[in-house]
Amino acid sequence: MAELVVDVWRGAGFETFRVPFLESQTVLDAVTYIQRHLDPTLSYRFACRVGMCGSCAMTVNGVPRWTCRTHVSKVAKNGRLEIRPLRNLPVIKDLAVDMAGFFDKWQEAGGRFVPTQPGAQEFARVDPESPERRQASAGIECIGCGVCYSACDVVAANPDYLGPAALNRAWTLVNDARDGDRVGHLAAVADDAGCHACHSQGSCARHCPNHLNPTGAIAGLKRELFRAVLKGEL
Amino acid sequence: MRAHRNHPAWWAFLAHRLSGLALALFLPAHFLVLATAVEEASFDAFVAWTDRPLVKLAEAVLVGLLALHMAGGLRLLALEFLPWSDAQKTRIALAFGAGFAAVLLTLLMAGP
Amino acid sequence: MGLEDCPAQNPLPPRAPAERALPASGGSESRREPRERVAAKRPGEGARKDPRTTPHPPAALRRAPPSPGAGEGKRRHLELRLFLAQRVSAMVLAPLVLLHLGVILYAVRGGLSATEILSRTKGSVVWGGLYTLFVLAVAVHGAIGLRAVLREWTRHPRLADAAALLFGALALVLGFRAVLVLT
Repeated sequence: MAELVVDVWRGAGFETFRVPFLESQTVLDAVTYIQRHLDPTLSYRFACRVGMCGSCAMTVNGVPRWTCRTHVSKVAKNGRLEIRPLRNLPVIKDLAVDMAGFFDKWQEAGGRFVPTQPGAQEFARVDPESPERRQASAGIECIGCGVCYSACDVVAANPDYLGPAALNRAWTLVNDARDGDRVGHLAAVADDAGCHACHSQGSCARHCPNHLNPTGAIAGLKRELFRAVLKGEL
Repeated sequence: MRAHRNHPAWWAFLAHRLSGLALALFLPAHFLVLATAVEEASFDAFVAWTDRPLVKLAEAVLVGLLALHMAGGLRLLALEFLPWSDAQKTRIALAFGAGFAAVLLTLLMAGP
Repeated sequence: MGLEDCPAQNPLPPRAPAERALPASGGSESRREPRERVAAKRPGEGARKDPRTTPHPPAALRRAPPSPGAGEGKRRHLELRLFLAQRVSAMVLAPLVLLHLGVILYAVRGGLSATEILSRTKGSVVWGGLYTLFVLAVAVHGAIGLRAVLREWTRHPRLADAAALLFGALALVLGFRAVLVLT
């Protein structure tokens, strides 16, 4: 194709732009072309443009993606692209969403490390091959891009649900041998807003650009909460 | 189906949920019919009535729903209580396979 | 793209007056995507705004987020325990379902008459016990499952609770009646 037809969400509806197609063009390239050459009032976010920061996440043809890592040739349908802001988050303008609620849920899920030895002079010794550390390491690469949160239908249906990213982070802390409040972390994710609302639909793991597995993390939280109840900790 | 949902784990979820709802609707009726048929000594007549193709099909569908729901449920239990691995995907496939096998089995059993 | 595309070399033309102003705090209706559902507040769920559609207040006005573990206390444990009951009843049901399927297939294939079936089940402690357990597990599992689905697909948690209790009651009453009649 020589030309792309791009439908871009502008708040009250879609606007259509025609963008010249270039080899190895990414969706971010297309959006940037629109903003620089066709309509300078288009608002969108990006930063690194090399797939490290997660700022450029948008919904492309119905799927939440990093636009800088999405080749147009792979996702365009009959030379057409439909670009919307991320789902499940309030829209500030055009393609930019307000991520504050997403990060507040991170806090509510207890996504903060609880230190045990603030004055310690030596590094904590943690075996990287231990089962717990492997579980934590598997989820630690989350950069908070919001793709999983947007893909999740439970988030869409349940305003209180903390969401896959926050729960995934909680799981890494539950498995962190250095953390001082394991039961507290479990308690924070143990209710209708927490891991028990997850139905293992798996859209989060399917669409995570870092190939993380929040479905597995949440399953782990359910398992550990089961054990905690049996042990009488909760 | 919306693009972001179009993947096996989501289909498994939907099959599990719909089969569960269908079974929840069916079961009280099942208990009622069974108890009534036995109490009124009309069980033999009732069984004779069920000997028609549409009923046999419905029975097969029910067994299929049950198998599907159980397969989906076992998949969830595996996911939650066994360590996660890519073998999970194989297990999903196996679970579906078992479900379909159960349906086929019933259809065969109910044949002429 | 070459130097000719560099913004420093090509300052943008003066901006036309903004046709679409930024939304006032609280969010305007037109900002919502027409196909997305707007989450209605659940009755009794307090002043917490829906974080998915309500633009956040600016930093200065933002309350400190609740600390982990704060919140609904007992109600939280209820959801956890319901979930556990669901999982445990599922584990009980799995072998019983297989048993039931086996029994039915055997009865159908063998062409067993009512008299033959009843002769095996009447007065049987084993059949009575197994199927009593079956009824109990089904009532618990179905009720909790129904409640979860309705809570998610409707916006009425009380309706969900009522439907769950109704199913549970029906399953128990009709189920035990069936077991008594057969054994």
